Amino acid sequence: MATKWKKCRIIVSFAAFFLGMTLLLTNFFTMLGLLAQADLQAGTDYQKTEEFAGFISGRLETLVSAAAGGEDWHGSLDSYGTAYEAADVYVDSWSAGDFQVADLFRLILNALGITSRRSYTVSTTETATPYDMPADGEGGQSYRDFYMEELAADRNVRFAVLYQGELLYTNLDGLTAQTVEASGIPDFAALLPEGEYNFSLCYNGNGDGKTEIVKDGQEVDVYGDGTYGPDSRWRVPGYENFQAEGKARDVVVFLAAAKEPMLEIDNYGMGTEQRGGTLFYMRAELYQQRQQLRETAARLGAALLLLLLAFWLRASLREARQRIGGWFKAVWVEIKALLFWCLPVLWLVFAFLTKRIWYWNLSGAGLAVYFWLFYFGLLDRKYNHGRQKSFLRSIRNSLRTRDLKRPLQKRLVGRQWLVFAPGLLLFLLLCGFLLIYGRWLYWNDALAPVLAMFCFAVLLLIGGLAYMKKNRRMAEDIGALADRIAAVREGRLSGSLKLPEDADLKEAAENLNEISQGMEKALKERTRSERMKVELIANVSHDLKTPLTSIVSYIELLKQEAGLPEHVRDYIRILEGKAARLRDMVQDVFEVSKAASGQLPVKIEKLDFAKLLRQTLADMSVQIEQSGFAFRAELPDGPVEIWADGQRLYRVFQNLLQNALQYSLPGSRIYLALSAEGGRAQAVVKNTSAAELLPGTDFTERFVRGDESRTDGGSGLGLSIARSFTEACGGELKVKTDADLFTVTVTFPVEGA
Amino acid sequence: MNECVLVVDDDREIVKAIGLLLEKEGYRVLKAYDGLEALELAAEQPVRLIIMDVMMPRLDGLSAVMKIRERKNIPIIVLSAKSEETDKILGLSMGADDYVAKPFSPQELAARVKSHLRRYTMLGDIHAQGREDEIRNGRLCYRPSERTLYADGEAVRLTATETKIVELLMRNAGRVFPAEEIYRRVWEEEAFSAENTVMVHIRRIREKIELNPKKPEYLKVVWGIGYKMEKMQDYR
Repeated sequence: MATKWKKCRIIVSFAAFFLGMTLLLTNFFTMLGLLAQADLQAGTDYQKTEEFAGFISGRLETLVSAAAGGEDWHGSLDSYGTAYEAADVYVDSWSAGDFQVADLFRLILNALGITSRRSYTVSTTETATPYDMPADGEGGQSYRDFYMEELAADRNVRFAVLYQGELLYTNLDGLTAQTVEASGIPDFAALLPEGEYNFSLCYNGNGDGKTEIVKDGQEVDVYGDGTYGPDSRWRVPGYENFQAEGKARDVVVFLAAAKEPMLEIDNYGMGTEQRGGTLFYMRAELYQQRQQLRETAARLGAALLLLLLAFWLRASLREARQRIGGWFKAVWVEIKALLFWCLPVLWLVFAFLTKRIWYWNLSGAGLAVYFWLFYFGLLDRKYNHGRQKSFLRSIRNSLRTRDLKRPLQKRLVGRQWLVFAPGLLLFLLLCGFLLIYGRWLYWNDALAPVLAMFCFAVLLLIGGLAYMKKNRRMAEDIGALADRIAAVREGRLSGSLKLPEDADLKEAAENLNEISQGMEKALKERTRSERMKVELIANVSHDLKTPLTSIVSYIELLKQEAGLPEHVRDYIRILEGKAARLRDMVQDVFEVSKAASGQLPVKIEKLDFAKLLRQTLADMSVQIEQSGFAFRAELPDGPVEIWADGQRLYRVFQNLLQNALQYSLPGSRIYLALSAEGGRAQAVVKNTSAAELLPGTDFTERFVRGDESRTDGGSGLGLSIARSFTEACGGELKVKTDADLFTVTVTFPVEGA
Repeated sequence: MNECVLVVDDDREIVKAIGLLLEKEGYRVLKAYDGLEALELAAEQPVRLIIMDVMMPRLDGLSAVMKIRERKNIPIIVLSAKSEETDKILGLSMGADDYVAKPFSPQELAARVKSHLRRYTMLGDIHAQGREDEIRNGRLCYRPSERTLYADGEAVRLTATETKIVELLMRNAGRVFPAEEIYRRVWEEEAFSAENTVMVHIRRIREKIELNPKKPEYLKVVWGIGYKMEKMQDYR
């Protein structure tokens, strides 16, 4: 349960982190963009947006132009930004959700208050015959009138234009030229339907040349400090630096905008025609923008909540990171490098080159993709650094292993292709080139260098071939030499390596031959001297045994002599003891010399080591009891099967135990333990030495005894025999001394382990 | 009884010593100092047993043994300074009955001489009889009906347990018994510390049946495996 919960936490923490981060990255800049462009002051009222101000200002300009007979009316139905001179104010096409660098700059500039002020004037000059300019196919009507009719059809914007007190254009219901003539400038607002139009603008060029704006019955402060600048909302005449001049002074314009603009769609047989779209869409867009802002804000909030959750579960998150790092371990490092590092960088470069870096990469999803790729790349680096699984490396390794398996000659010959192949490739390429393009080449220009290269390639090829041939022989010689070295190492000393007289390795081969001959000779000598040594010892021991037989026999006769005085009997006993010791020593010398020369016959069979030790102890029980030493044997109950010669191994332990009995400190204990671990059976005999053990003495050397004075009863061969016999049986005997503790370890491989 | 024993060795002192020892045992001793002399004496005298050294001038011991074997069936004990197994087998295959390595213990040699002579003289008729129910093995003979072990025709005094062990081993001469099995079959109970108990009994039996208990020929320990009664081969 606990582990399940833990696993659950890990998954939840990472999922929260992943989702949160992704949401944050995809929405953060969108949010910034929205914030930068949204008219937050406007609220739900589209009439408070900059766009509306611009639209109304533009419409006023259009109407003033139309009344005063301005220039730019050549059939254009759009009147934006034409009539006022040098009024270059940004008109940006905002597209929701996209944040652009320029916006950022403008935001910053605005924030710093750096704005440029210019002087603006309105001057409209009369065109030649604007009134009479014919529209296409509709004789008698000018473009202006046609355009004005179009404008009048939009019921969202009501207007009236007076020029020199004469009504020119209007779509106000009930306003006629007669009314105007009768009353001068009429009260336009009264003519509007009740409640539908809450915005009105009145420009009176005749009077003060200023524009009055009334919204929801309240007069709006149009001019601010009275100077027109980039931050001025209304682009209408009446500022100090933006005055109506010329004919524009004779114009009176009234404009009213609907509270809730409607879209009128007329359906003809040939298609549809929309009216009133400008304001309708302005309002719709405002709503849409606000909606988008709300959604983005909600997403960002969710992202923050998720990140908070991930932070709360950060311990589990760490583990999740570790696990993900672990998963990446199985992926080839090349794939990871491509995915995490190369692709993003390449894509960035591509985006940079195509100059769409912001559009593609640093907004929304692109940013998130980059982030996660880099994040996983870093995770991989952190957890798998130095332990990467490489596809190329494994290929290289397998190639190398395969290469090593082949004999030396083949390997060397194979390597020559590295030299030969480039030449061959160049040659083939040039041949192909000449075959295909040869007939378009002219002798004096392109053909000359190509032919030169061709010659070079041929030379390279010939050189490569010659080198390969020479080297192939060399490789064969090296291989033969290597084989011969291996043969010598295996002990096949007879025979010699014959290389041709002109071979590079001739001398090396001869040296090797001499070495192997020398070794062979030395080995023969050694074998002979070993054999002679063994023969000598056998002869010596034989020659010793014959007189010894007489000694033993006559001592026996002496013993049987009756009536000898007691002290003579004592002498005889001493003689008997020493003769017996001499006999044992002769036998020991004989055996140890045979064992040392490797001529000891052994009969290896499977036996139970534990049983052998028990038998040895039982066999020596009388001796052990008489010695007065306490014996501590620790032998396993079960069998410990090894391969050895039982008789010899018995002698080993007989010697070891006798050794222990003979040299132990009186009253001390002697330990015998057998253990079988890790495929090895280990018997250990431990005793405390009575004499001081000189460190650095090899007790298994022949005639070495702990007691240098050699007055004790041993031959000094016990341990030497024990070691020789153990080794003859395939075991290992080691002596270790630690202060007075004398430890002998006999080790054998366990059968079947 | 004055049986005649021929002692041959090129070392006069050894011959003399052996001669003295055997005379004390009551044998008549003939002495020779090389192979040819030995052949002459063996042909002329009523020799019942020969002790022969291997390395001798004029005619070596083994050749002499082969020559003598052509005409006589008497026991021959070979003496040698070589104690290796191969030498022993070579000597026995040449027709010798026994092999004693120098330096030998005089008592052992005397015991062997006695053993061989007894077998040759007294047990010759037992050989001839060839009783059905007895188990023979070298100088040992076990009669289950009597529950008695004979060594060189002489009954060996064994305790009841020793007899059981001997019977088991004699019936299965050559086979190796782990101590536990011997214990189970003789004591008829589960083995506990069998090794020591069995070893003590084996040692006691050896004292009674072996010519040299320190170098047993019959009752042997197979180290690391168990115990066995060696199946003796007749080299004749």
